[in-house]
Amino acid sequence: MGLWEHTVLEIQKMLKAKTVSVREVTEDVLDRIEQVEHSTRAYIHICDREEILEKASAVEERIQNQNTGGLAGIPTALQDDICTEGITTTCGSKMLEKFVPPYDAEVARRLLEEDCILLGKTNLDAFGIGASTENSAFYPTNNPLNKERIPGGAGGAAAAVAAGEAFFALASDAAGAIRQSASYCGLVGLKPTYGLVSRYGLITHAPSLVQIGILTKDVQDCAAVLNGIAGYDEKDGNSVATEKIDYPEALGEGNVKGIRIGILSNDFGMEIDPKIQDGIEKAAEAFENLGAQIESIRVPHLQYGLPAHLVIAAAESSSALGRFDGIRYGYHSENAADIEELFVKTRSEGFGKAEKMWMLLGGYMLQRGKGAERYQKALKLRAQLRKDFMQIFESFDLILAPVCPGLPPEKEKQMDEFLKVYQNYTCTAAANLIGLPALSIPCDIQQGIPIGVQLIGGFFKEGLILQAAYAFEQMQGGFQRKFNCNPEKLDAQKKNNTGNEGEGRERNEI
Amino acid sequence: MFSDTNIEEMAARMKLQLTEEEKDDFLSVLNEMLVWTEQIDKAEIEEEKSDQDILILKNIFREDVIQPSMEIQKVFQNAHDAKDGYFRVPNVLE
Repeated sequence: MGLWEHTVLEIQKMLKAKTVSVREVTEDVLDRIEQVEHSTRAYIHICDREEILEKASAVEERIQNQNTGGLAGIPTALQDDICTEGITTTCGSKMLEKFVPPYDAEVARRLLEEDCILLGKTNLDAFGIGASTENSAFYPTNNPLNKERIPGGAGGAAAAVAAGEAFFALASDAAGAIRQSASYCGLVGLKPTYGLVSRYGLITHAPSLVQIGILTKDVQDCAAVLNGIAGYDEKDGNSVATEKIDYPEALGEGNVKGIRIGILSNDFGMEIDPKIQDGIEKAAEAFENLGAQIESIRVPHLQYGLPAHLVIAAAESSSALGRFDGIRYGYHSENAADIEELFVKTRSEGFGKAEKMWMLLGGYMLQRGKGAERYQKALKLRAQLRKDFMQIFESFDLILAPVCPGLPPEKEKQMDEFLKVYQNYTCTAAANLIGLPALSIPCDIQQGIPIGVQLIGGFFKEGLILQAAYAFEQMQGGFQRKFNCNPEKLDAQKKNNTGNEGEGRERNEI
Repeated sequence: MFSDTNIEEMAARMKLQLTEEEKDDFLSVLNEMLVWTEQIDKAEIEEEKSDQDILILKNIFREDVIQPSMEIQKVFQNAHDAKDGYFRVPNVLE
């Protein structure tokens, strides 16, 4: 068993017992990247091997001097919309292809302070607009568990963790990308409460919806990483000062006795695949067997959640993407006669299809008349949905729901069907609209493909969500190994790959 | 709904110039999305207050204390053209 196959906690124990060194762990993961990256294409940028190993040796020294953070020596990946000082941060776009941030995002700073080893930056849909990573301006990422299927919107980060190319990854979730990718790749994915984790230094198209979150192999790892990144940051205007919680401690013994869980399997306004429904029912049964109180619930306005989300996300895109002008940073079109032409040429050449359409739709929503009326209605629905969910949380501690309406779609099948791609977020977008924390955890396998189930909690109830997820995971008995550490499967897929896919790094549209 | 004319107007507002191919491509997709979002127009709701912010936020004031700014060199490191501490741009006035 390679070191890369282990979880964060297992590696931490080995480092503590000095049975392995940080350098050995890091080298093993770097070798793993060399072995499978051409097959997964999880990363946009991989840091220089020698520099990574130098950092590993430095952390090793600090560990010996017992002067390190809680995640010391753990090789990790960051999605490429999280700014890293001196390391290219493209946001999956041509617009930022050569952008080198002058500062670290707060989460990057915290992880480096914890002595994590940064391996590289992972692939995503340009500016986070999409649900498959096929809208990356560079190349699509492959789902390491099934190369015929998409890996979801945080596909690079999820593929990296699932294939053992990083022990954990941070990504962003504006409609459900982290949870969806976790579900498609057999991982645990957490979108924390809006305001719990600083978004300073995150590049996004939808500021009021997006939250930085975590992809890990199991629940214990998720709790350990959340400990490292949660907490107030004055640089993020929406950061909330809350009581410090020790999340690994909150896991307890994974007891859910007496916890009231509402089962939400309808009301999404879209048909849910019976295989997914089946997974939810099995999960509900498991929680009941663990001693939780289970009851079906309904959310009256849930069906309007996704269309309201689309209206708001598009409107915010038209504003948030307005800053890319070709002057201060990012792509710059040559030969513009005047400043107006510079703006237009830069933006027309630098943005891809999805970003342009999102901005056009958003512009419509913000113009006087029908558009603005719909935008106002979407904001009211957002308030209404919050009211609906708060009423549920008066009687329930957690909500159990599907993550995705179906199994991961096949690659390239939905590429030009923007609405269909977006509807993959049917079950996840409400948590973004309201700002609630939500976690995806594997609950079933159908046709060899993992299915996730979603646990949604009240504001800042990450501890409770993790506690319930831990109980569920323990009952499932080490789900993560079946999914994440399967080199044979990857290698077999590599051999079957007749299209020479791994040879070059051809680009999507650049 | 989007039409041949107003899609160009909207593109101009977004400082975009669409190719003929893009226009053709985008029109049907955008209108499909617009029609789909129409369903919220008639949604019956009790809540008449709109929700700009998803958490209850209060203004936070800090002491007006001078703090270090980003180094000038870093501010300009991604600029296409800069001179003497300014971003240099093409003609603004004729």
